[in-house]
Parts: sequence; C-alpha cells; structure tokens
Amino acid sequence: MFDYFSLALTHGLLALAAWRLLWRDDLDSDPADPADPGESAPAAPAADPRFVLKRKDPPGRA
Amino acid sequence: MLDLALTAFTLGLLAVGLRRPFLWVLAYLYIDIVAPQKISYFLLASIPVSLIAFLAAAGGWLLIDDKRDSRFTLRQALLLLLLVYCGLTTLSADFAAPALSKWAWVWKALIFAAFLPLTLRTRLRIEAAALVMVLSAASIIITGGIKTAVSGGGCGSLHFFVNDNTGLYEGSIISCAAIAIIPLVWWLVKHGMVFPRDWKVTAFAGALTFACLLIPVGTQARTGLLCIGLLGVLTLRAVKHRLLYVALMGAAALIAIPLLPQSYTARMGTIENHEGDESASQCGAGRSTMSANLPSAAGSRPIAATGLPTRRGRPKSRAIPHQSRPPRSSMPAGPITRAISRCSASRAGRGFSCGCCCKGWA
Repeated sequence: MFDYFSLALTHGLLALAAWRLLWRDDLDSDPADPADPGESAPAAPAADPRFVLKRKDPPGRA
Repeated sequence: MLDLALTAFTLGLLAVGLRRPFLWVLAYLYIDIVAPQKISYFLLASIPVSLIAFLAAAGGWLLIDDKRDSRFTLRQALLLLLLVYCGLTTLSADFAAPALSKWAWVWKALIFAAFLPLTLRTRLRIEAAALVMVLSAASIIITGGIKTAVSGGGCGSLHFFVNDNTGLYEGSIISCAAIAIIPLVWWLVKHGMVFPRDWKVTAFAGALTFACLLIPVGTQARTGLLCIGLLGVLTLRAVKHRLLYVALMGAAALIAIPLLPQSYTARMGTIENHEGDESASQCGAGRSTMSANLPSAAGSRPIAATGLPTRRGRPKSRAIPHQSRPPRSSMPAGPITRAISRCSASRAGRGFSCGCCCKGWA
C-alpha cells in the first residue's frame, strides 16, 4: 500500500511537471538571452533617479 | 494494474517528447532512477525502455535541438576519461565476466553524465532536470521513509519496490542520495518556476526532507549518518546564526537518539576510522575485517581494480578452504563468525546476496 501511495504521488507530480513544461516557451531558450536573435532585446536598466531630469507638465494638463 | 500504469506513464512521457524533445532527456532520467522496467512484471520488462529513452534523448538533441549554447567542457572530458579507465580495468580484471556484470550500469550512467550538460542550455531546463531527479528519487524515498517510520527498517531488510541491490535500490546509495538531495529540494522550493512556492510545495518538501532523513535509519547504512553529518557541517556556510544552528542541531540529535532503533545506534557505533570503515556501505562485519583476519582467504589481491574481491586460483565455490577453517561450533563468537553466519542465513533465506561481505566470497 505504501508503495502504491508513493508511486501515485510522485508519478502524479512528474506528470504535472511534464505537462507544465510542455507549454513553457523558456524551456528551449532563455527569454533574456541577448545572443538569441529570435528573442526581444533585454530591457534597459532602470535609470538612476538622481540623474533623471524632471520635466514640468504644461499648465492645464493633469 | 501497476504494470499498465507504469507503462502508460513511461510511454506518455516518451510521447510528449515528440513535441518537446528535451522531455526525452527527462524521461531517461526518470527511467534511470526509478527503473520502472524492474518494477514491472511483463510489459515494460520486455522492452529495452532505457535504451529507447537514451536513443530518443540523444537523437532529439542531435537532430532537433538548438546546439548553439552547448559546450563541451573539461568536466565532460574527465568523465569520458573515467569511462575509458573503467573499461580498461574491467576488461583486464582477473574475473572479467563477473566484473562486467557488476559494472553493467556504469557505462550508460557515465555516458549520460557526459551527455546531459550539452542539453542543459536554459535555466528552466536545469530546474526541470533537478525536479525530475528529485521526484524520481522521492518515489523510492517516500515509501522507504514511511516503512521506516512504521516498522523501523533494518540492515538489508528495508525493501523498496524491487530487491535489486543495484543503483538507487542499494541501501547505502539510496541513503547517500536521499541526504544529498535535501539541499536540492529546498532550492527547488525557493527558486522553482515549475512549482512556484506555496504552502503545498513547502509542506511536500518538509515531508520529503523528513523521509530523506529516515532512509539512513531504515537502511542502517553508516554512509547515511556520515552524509547527514557532512550536510550539517556544509549547512553552516549558509545559516545566519551559526551558534543557534549548532545548538538546535545538538538538541535535535539529543531528542532523536532515544527514538532511534537499538540496532541502528549499535551499528552506528561501529564507525571507527578509514581503516576499519572500508565496508561502510555494507552490512555485517565487513569485507575489510574479514580480509584482515583471514589473509589466506583474501588472496594476494583482495580488491581488484574494479572493486571486486578476487580469489585468484581458488575454486569459485570455496571462499574459505575447509581444511583451514575450524568447525563452526568451535569458532569464536566474534565479528567474523557473525558475518559468515549472517551471509549464510541471508543466502539461504532469500536466495540472494545481502550485499555484505559475501560479495565475491560466495
């Protein structure tokens, strides 16, 4: 009985993992891989807020 | 019913590889660890499923997979070098045929170990391989852990799915593997993307860790205790409050020791040093003890290059010549007597070697 329980539990999890992997695009290529031309370029690093010029909105705009 | 379920699962895993060839690599990992063809009685047992999975994994990588990020590293070269060395020493062993059968599982394991890094190109693939290895090993560990908690286990008496005594079904190897995957389990809990962290994943990991710790108790393999100790020392690198960690570990050990079976504590008490502990993976008094006390029986080369004890020039059926062996009733009740009687009882009772000192002596 313990054998059946263990086999059922782990094989169920293995099947679920295989099912989830089946639909993952990042299984075959990392999304942030810059060497892969098929992927979009990585996002630019966030600018340091100390050096960002703040533009004043014209009056009358929200 | 079990046959049908295992066959359906294995064939299903191979079938989904048609869409994603990397799943064939995962299928091979599963087959290599769980060995469903050994659990099966007739369906999978009649198919070379391991070979099929290996050919599918290698063929899928060669023909379909993107190989731009695959690199051949020094570590793989060393693995291949070890493979050649194993082949040469096995073929040149004194008893090449038994050595070949003993090491039959090594070839494919080493070849696949050299092949696997070529396929692990993405982060998700690395995680998937780790996850499949952990869950496959968990199928053996969970049942062993429950049986240990219920019955206590024993040296050579904790039965998993098969009485094969090779691979992960060998007591000391499953003990070592069970402890070794504990950090991997918690890495998957912390960083896993297939099963993101939630209370169910954490609860499963906690229960699996407890089962992993029970395996060395159930198999009574001294290797397991040494692995637990090593894991405890290595964990010191990662913990923040080391003194608190050491204190908690000490308290846990003090609480656990009275709950352990008497046979386990007695067996762990036989751990001495490297000279007296060469048989740490085996039950009984051990091969080294017998070799030390019976040099005539061990021969001039007790351990061959392949790890097989040899008896050059001796009849195969007689490890200890009857002329030099005193009557059993007059033998002192020392470790040698206990080992011989244990081996004899094991072979007579179960019809196979218990993996102890009778390896190579029978």
